[in-house]
Amino acid sequence: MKTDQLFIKRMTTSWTQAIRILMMVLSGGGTPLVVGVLFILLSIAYSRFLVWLPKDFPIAVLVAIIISLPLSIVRIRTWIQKADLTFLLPLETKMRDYFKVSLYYNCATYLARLTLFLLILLPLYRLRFGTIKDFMAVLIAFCFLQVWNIIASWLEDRLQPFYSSRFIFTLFFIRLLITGWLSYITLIYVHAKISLVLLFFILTVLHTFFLWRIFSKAPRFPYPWILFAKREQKIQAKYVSLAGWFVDLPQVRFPVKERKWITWLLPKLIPQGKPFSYLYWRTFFRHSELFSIYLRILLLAILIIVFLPNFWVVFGTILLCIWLFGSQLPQITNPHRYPMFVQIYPIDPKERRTSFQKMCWILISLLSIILTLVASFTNLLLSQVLGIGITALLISFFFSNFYLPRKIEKRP
Amino acid sequence: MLSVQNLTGGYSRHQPVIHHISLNVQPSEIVGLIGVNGAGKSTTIKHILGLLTPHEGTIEVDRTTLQADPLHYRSSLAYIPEVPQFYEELTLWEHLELTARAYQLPKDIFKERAEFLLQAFRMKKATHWFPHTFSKGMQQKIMILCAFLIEPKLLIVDEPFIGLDPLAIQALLDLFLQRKKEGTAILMSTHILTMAEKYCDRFVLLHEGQVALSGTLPEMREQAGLPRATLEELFIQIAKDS
Repeated sequence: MKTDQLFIKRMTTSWTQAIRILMMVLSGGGTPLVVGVLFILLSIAYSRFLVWLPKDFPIAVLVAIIISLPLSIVRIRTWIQKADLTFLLPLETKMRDYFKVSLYYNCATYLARLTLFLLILLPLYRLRFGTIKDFMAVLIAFCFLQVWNIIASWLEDRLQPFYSSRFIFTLFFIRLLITGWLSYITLIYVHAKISLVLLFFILTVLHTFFLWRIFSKAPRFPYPWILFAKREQKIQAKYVSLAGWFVDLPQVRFPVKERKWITWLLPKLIPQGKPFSYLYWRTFFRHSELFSIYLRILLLAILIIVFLPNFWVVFGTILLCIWLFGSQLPQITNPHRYPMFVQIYPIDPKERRTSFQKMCWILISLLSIILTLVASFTNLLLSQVLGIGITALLISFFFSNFYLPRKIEKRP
Repeated sequence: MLSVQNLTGGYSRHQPVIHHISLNVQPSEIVGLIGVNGAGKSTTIKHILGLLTPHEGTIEVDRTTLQADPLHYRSSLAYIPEVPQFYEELTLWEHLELTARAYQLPKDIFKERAEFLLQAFRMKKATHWFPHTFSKGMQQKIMILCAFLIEPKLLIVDEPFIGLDPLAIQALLDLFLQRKKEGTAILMSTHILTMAEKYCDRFVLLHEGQVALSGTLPEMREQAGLPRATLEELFIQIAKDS
């Protein structure tokens, strides 16, 4: 069996599915409009930010930190599934080609992502760092850094079965520091000092050599199968969750994020005497994506409100947030995601609806209140802020108590 | 405690899987529901749990039907499934806490029973772990703990011994006997016939969706015309006859 062909087949199938979903998203209702509006708002906010940016602000440090995170945090996608632990394990010694193609694929996707990110950064670069010609050199240097990070990350993954997680994290942390520092050097000095360019190469080569030395002492097999399978599950859950904002997709098993601090915090924060309330709140916090989506939406909206403090922009942003987040919530009540016990508990079916309504109301109204408070610190008039706040709360109330409960009742 | 009369049902109205099944389980009694794979055991259990609607016949638990008093019906029974089914997002302790809330168990009673059960099944150290990290046997113990926590009037058990270690099997059997002594009616579906023969008071042997034999072991021997047969021999005889 040619294992590289297996990888290509899996990758092609996955991309075909992704393109199909993308087409569904693009052809559906107002989605392109919403994405377009969001894009325009973020572009305006970005240009405002460039105008506002003080000359003495240490932007190089900030950009180096921001860019070093996506450069270093590499999650090599392999399409390894749980069942492979049974069916592909006998082929382990022949999997070299499979993973080699996987590495090429990951290099291509990570470089495409990096290029996109750097193109977004281009206006800032031209304003504060250098010319277009310099930028091309920076782009090449960052691509080199990205490939180096992918190779190093692959070696770290391969070491997983033989070393403690603390040791692997230390390796990653060293790599993150080197990447952060080299990113800073690249941004500031790439067109000035040749000695630093040399240092750039020496450091990455030395690190790779150091990592290779550790790797060469470790056994060649086994591959970190469980790690790859879990990672694949997480990646799929993330994409499905993203697409779930726009279209209804079949259920995918989402990995659990334990978030043990919730166990301590939840009883203090939220009334949850009722069993469904107890279940739904824990699902919200521990379901791998929902809580992260809530925080991401909040952060994005805060950025837009801070940099575009216009009455209609703020109002529209809050409405968009209510819709974007609210449309994710009905999946919490889907009986298929729970064991059949939820169907045999001696509980009045109405309680399920009321517990869901209460949770939606708390989460969505809190979102509206936080964003209104952020708006109150901008140059908007008090009367405008009050108007936005009251309307947002009314819409949150309608959305939580009428629209969303009706949506779950209509579910087939 | 449980009375199933003339039950016909299945997943589709056009194609019933079980036909005219009647069985009873009295308080302080263990009834073994046995039969080959596909005989209709799980379908019968799903009907009793209220997950499927009978095409014909009645099911009463504690003298009421699901339609007449759903809350009383449901609060009278607990179920241990064959395949562990758990909430991914809840720890073991939270499973117990959720069950206690669903069945409105007072806090002090809940804590006392939970502590006892965790000790009995040696799950104390795993109290705050998430079940996806458990072995299959440990996952099955979650089902057992949740069912025994509420001390129901009727306990329905589907293949409870799969995946359990010998100590856990013994703990489970001890609990069955204890609950039986305290008046619980137990309907147990199992393929471990030696265990069923030892612990069950009566049996219902299903075959192709119908009751082939039922009663105590001597009664079933008489029905089959095999006066010295063991439960296993009766089982094999019925399966072969088809």
